[in-house]
Amino acid sequence: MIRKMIRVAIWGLTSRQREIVSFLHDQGVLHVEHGEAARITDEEADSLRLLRSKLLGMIESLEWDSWKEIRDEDLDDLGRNLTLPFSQMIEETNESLDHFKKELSDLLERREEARRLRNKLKGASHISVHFRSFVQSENEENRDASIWWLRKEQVPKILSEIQSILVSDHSGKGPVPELHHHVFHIREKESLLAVGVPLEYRGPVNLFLESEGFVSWTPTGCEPGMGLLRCMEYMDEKLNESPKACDHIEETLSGVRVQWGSRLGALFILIDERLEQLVVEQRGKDMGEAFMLEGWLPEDERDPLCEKLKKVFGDDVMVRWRYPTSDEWQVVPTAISNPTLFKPFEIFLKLVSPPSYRGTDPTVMIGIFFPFFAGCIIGDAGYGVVLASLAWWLRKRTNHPMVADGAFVLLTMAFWSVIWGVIYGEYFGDVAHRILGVEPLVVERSHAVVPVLAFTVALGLAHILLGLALGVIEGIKNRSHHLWMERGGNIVIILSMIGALCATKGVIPQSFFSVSMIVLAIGLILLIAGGGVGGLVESMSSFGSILSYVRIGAIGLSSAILAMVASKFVDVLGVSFLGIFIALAIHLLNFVLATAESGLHSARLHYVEFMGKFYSGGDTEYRPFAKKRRRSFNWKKR
Amino acid sequence: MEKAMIALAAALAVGLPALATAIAQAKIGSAAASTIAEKPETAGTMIILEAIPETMVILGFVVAIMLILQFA
Repeated sequence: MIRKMIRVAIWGLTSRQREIVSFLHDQGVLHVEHGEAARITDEEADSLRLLRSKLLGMIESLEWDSWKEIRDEDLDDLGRNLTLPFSQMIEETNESLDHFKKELSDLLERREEARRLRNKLKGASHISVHFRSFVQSENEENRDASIWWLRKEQVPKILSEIQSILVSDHSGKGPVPELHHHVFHIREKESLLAVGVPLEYRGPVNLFLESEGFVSWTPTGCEPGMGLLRCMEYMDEKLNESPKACDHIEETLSGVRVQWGSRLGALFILIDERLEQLVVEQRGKDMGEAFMLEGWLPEDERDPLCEKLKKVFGDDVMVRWRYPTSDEWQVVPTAISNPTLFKPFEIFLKLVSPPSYRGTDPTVMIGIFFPFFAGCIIGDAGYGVVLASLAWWLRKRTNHPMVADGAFVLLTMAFWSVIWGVIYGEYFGDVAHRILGVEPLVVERSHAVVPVLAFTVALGLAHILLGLALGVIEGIKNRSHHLWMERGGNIVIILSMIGALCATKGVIPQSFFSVSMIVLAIGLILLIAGGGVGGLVESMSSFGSILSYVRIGAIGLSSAILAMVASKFVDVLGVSFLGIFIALAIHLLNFVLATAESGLHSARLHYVEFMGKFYSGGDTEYRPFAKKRRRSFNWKKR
Repeated sequence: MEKAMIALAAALAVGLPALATAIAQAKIGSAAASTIAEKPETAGTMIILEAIPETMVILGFVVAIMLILQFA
């Protein structure tokens, strides 16, 4: 049901404007056309925006995302404490945030530094693995070892030049000192060369390599004077300690997150709400000592709001209201209200734009027909019971309203599945028939294929006629002659064709055939007058839509056959583990398929075939100026 | 021979629309994946769109059943 809306103008004293706007915000019933994008060039608003961005930045830096932990009571408490004047509140909050920001930045910097060091140590450790044994053996032989960065192709040349130095510096006594080396290719062109020479040759060799422009490699964290091997051991010690250091910083950060995350989050929400209030305040027309605020209000909220305003503000506030004119129908926000039983079915409207204010809310129709069709497709009492149990469990477990609504929809599907299951005599396929001899109440769909398919087409006919009738009503309501004539013409044509068919088949007297033809001509005139030649195409598509409902029977039939196939496995393999396992597996597959297909195709029948006949969306959704977003998580995206 | 022809007709009645449906669903599926990547809130609509071409194979299935029931 679409709620009746009124246009209200609230007049009040400028001196109490902020108070009145805050009161309206608390009441949460007035739809003010401002939107989040409304830009007001006000100093206070700019400061609030800046503060909001700063808070959001800090929340993200803190990596806090537990918005669900913020309770409305905490927000109210915090709101009560923020009673300072706007400018003072902004200033004090800014100061506190700057102080906190410094501490947080230090902590984050420390963490970053620790992570960087750890990565460097890991990289160096990965390299040192390749040279450790070389350096160790050189040390044991009391020789010098050093590691140098160079290009891959330079290695042979450099080695031969070092060898020349060893030969040229040799005193001639004893054998020429040996040159030990080890090469590790890091990348395609880059290499690390470890050179081992007697201690007395260290100076000339190092001098030569440095003069050639090569850089020596030393492990990360190495201090001057340490030997290469000691450096490597020292680096290992540091690497072993680094996780502890990182964990310590992470623990501190986690503590800060727990302590400050929800506080910053709550503050962000309050600032966001204050900003929204300020935007609404600025939208009010300033008339010197008075201001005026306009908006849309559901008619049933008018009297309670007026009474409360009168009680709190007395004669300082005046409310005037009127019904929207036909020119305004396009801009009136649409508020939907349905009985408790049908309310969960409003989730179906989430996939389409909100219905127009003068349009029709299909929720009740969907609530009646969707589970009926889906249940008809599943058509198995056993599956229905399983589905009901799952839906019940899901409904009890979830805190999310949309999931709870979805679970309720599944429950209604399960209800109709049981009903149709009894009608078709299906309890996990033919299991009940085999064991207990249960017979179908009306008809077994796998045996009476044609009657079941005919029945589903009849269902489609009724559903499409209902959709077209709603289209006629919408056309009349919106004073759209084209719409109601086209939809009406469609109804007349469909009925006349059925009449002609019945007369041809002898269901009704033959004389009705000519009557049907006359009615068909009237329908065609209406159709062309309303929709032009395109209306004829629309009329043909209506027949296609009716035939489309045969899917209810066809999918149901395939599901019933698959259920029987499952039982057949027990016949073939006997009452064995394998037979029962395969049967259960096929039943599980069939259950999932039947549930998914029934929901999907019933939804499709509603969206495409049924709602296409009357639904006109595209209007603005009723979004009252309220604290409505406290439990949602959209703030970050703004 | 006649029964074989009926069976072949029934198989074609289901098989050809199934092929067409598969091609259509593949194209819709890939487009839907791209759309959902950019706008996750369109997931529901995309699932409904994915089901649209199934009408072909469902009607093909009905035709096949009718063929078998009427002539076999």
